[in-house]
Amino acid sequence: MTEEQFATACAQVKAAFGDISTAVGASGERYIRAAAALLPKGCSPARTAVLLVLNGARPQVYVKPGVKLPNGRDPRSTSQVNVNGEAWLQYSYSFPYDPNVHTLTQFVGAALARFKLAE
Amino acid sequence: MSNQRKIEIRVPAELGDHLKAAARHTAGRESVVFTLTSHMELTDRIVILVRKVIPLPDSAYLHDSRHGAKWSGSAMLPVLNEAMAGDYGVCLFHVHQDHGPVELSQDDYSNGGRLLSTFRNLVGLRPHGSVVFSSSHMAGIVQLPGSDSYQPVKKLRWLGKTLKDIPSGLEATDVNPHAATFHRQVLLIGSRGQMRLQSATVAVAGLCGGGSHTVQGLAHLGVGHVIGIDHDYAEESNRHRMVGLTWLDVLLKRRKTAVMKRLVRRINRQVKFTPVPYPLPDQRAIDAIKQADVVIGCLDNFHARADLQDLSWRYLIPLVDIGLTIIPASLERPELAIGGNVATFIPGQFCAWCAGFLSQKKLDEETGGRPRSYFEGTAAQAQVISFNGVLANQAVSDVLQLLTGFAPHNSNYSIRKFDGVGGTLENWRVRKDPSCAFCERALSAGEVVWRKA
Repeated sequence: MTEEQFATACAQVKAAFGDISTAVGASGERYIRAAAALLPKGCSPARTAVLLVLNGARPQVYVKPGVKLPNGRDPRSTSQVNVNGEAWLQYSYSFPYDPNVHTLTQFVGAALARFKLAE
Repeated sequence: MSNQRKIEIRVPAELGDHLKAAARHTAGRESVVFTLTSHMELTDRIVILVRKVIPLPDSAYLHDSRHGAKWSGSAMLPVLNEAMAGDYGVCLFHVHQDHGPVELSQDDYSNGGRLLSTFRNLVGLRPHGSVVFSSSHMAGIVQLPGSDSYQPVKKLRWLGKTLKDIPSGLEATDVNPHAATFHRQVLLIGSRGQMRLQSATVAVAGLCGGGSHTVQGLAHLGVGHVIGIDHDYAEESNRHRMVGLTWLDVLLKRRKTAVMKRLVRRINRQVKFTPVPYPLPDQRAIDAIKQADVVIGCLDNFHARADLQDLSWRYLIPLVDIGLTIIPASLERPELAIGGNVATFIPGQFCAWCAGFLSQKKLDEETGGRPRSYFEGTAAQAQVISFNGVLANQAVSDVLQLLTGFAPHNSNYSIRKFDGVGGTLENWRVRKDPSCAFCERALSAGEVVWRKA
């Protein structure tokens, strides 16, 4: 990802999810952190921090542990993982993503939409 | 960032040797060594972590009898460029004498101070510092992000087979600990060693067969602060191997951390025990480990081991890992096998990935190649308290070596392989893999610096 592409991606994510911070990892990977992205209606808490890791073809999305689904249950197939010394919630989502067709905002939105499901 | 917190600097093994040699290289003048640093913030301390050592070439120095060392500004450009590219702090090191108290000179304060302000303007989110050291003492100043003033460095820690802490000249280094309790232990490690134990924090992750033994040993040693990390509750199936566990604990479904807290209190009320009833990598467990001088891993899965290894390298905290495998004889495999290891991973030396203890294949095998959320725990394996105890007690001895250096000539970096059938612990020499991608990425990585976008 070029600097220009990264700046564009940051602007898109900021417009869609509010305040963001960025960081560079020790291996050159890029991180975008949205401070309080809105979760699907009914989730608790209503907003959560979201971490976006840009390191390869498909971005990875994490949220802060503790998210409850609209039905009050914990989401299934999740686990806490350590990303750069910080705990994040890894969870499963499955949808097609083509960086030439889809925007990063669409990708994050689709990943967060997974919490709509009443499991 | 608060200005009230103490400042500590940690230098990983090998890199520390490189730094010392470069700083002691003299050619009629002092030598200045630049280092790139990350950092971590704790409630009581800010710890600066040396990631890369960059000595100035001899050709960079300019002759000027008014200064201990003077160098051309252009010689710093590669350092500054690398610092800006990686969001690193810059810390200068130099030596005033081989041994004895040292102080920053007026020249160090005035010119060093100007340099720190320059560094801060280039990388504003990391601390920058200047340190002078001898083999026994150090003095230094650090400029913290958002601050115009300088704060003194309290401690410089060289990592190696023993953690060598060089306090700033103002700090007392020796007191008389409670003599009667530890009299016979002090005969080996000295009163300074006992004091070192008393001021140390050791975290233990996993508190059953191996972990409970290590907690017991640490409490008997007189380690000042033990942090116990385990989210499990006591079960009947733990009673045959968990030190301190009673039938009533099982009946009342007490947490393992509560059992360990009681055990420590009964051994020595001077030892503080902090229970952390959360699994790795819960943020509360991570934050607890960051407080530790040494962490002991008594875990039963590779994913949690990988987390501990990451935290150990990232924040320069030595990791002592124990593992036991008992394979009873069966029709398919008629030979009984009882094997294990005690591995002390000292940041800067070989890691669990270098040694082959961790691999992507092993992690994938735990989850069937899927994400970690699919990990359902390890299947129940044979465990026997006496074998757990051998490994755990050797781990406690390794912690004793790290904190007190009771065996100064024990300079081999090795892994101890345990054969429970033969009843032996054997040293296996392991070398650092110079191409280890994990070491390259994680060593002294510290906390990530976030920039508002």
